[in-house]
Amino acid sequence: MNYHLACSSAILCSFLATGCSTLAIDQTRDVSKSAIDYTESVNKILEDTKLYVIRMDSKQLTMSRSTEDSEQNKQRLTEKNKAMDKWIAVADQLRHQNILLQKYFTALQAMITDVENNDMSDSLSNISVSISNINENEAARRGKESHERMLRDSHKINLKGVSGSMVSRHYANKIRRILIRDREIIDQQIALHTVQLDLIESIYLRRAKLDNAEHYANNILGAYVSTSPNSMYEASSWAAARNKWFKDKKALGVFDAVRKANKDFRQAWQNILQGKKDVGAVKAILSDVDKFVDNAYQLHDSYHNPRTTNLYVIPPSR
Amino acid sequence: MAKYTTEMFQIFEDAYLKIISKPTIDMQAHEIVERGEVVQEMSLKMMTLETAHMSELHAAIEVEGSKMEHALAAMEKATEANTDYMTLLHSVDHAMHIMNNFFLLLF
Repeated sequence: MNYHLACSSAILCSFLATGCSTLAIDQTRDVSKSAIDYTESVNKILEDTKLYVIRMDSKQLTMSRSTEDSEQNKQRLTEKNKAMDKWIAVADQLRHQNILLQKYFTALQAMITDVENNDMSDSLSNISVSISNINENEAARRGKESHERMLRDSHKINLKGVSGSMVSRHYANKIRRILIRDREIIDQQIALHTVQLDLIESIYLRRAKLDNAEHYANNILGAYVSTSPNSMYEASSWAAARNKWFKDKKALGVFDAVRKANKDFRQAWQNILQGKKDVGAVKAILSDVDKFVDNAYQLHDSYHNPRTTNLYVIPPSR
Repeated sequence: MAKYTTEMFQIFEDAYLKIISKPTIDMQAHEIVERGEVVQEMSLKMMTLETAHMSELHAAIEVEGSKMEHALAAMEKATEANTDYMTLLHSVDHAMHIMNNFFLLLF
């Protein structure tokens, strides 16, 4: 009897261990997939914001173009190109970081799927070293205050205090070693994302607000109120312009989803490191990240269907 | 520092919004030209602020901080004042001239 009980217990324990292991691996695969989708969407938003910033800048240059002073035009264009180059460099750097993060999770996912045949240890190591270097450079670029803020933020989850044993024992040893080595680097990168997304958000919202105000003034208020034949008022295009104005005002909230996805993604990453077994909680967290991916597509659509009714008046001679 | 730059952006945005909110169709030729110049300067300065390195900002504030604060206060006052459009444009333009040295340190 005792022998049978012992055998049953052993079988049960072995079954439970296998079940937990599969669970942890499945969750990690889910997180890796969401991480890849997340980084792709952030890059899409970045690319679209870049296009938007350039479009807005060109609009402002058109408004200030002189019909008489070509030297002045040349100077203005040169100044703006220089400022735009600097801005694009900042946006491209964030894009590069995202691509690295995406590569990291793609390699991790391949390794988790088949640890024996897909040994990505070297590749993951190279990527995490590059990410770590970027983290340091970026923290230095943002100055002491932001550096401290970022670290404080990163420490909130107390990864540094978590011992190696907290990384789930259900992972294969190779994966476990990688996760222990990289957890802080990746966590810091996700924390940095929060700061960088704040910057991108403010850049996007500022332009969208100013652009929408200009659209309202010229295409809605001016066109409707003016009785001059030059008002170019035409009922159907005016109504479409007004619809667009309302729609764009609402679209200003799109970055709320980005911020939430960033926070959730970081939470999921921690859960996986610690091998939490609550599949429902991790799935709920990741569904918010998926919502963000959908929102990113919506934003993409709005960028690629710009207003076509702006009325421009070429500055006349002085 | 973050609070300082947020305030700067807010003052710039408010002024820009007021300037851009007048329909072009209601404007005189000289107002359109003047507006174009002010919009160019404002957008250039805002873009410079967006990409400025924190250490550059600290240094610029140390050297030109008091002039900058004076200019920002003047811009804020001009935005809130109920003046005619040309006076608004001139006041904002004047405030931005005072800021030039500050922004030169950020390039």
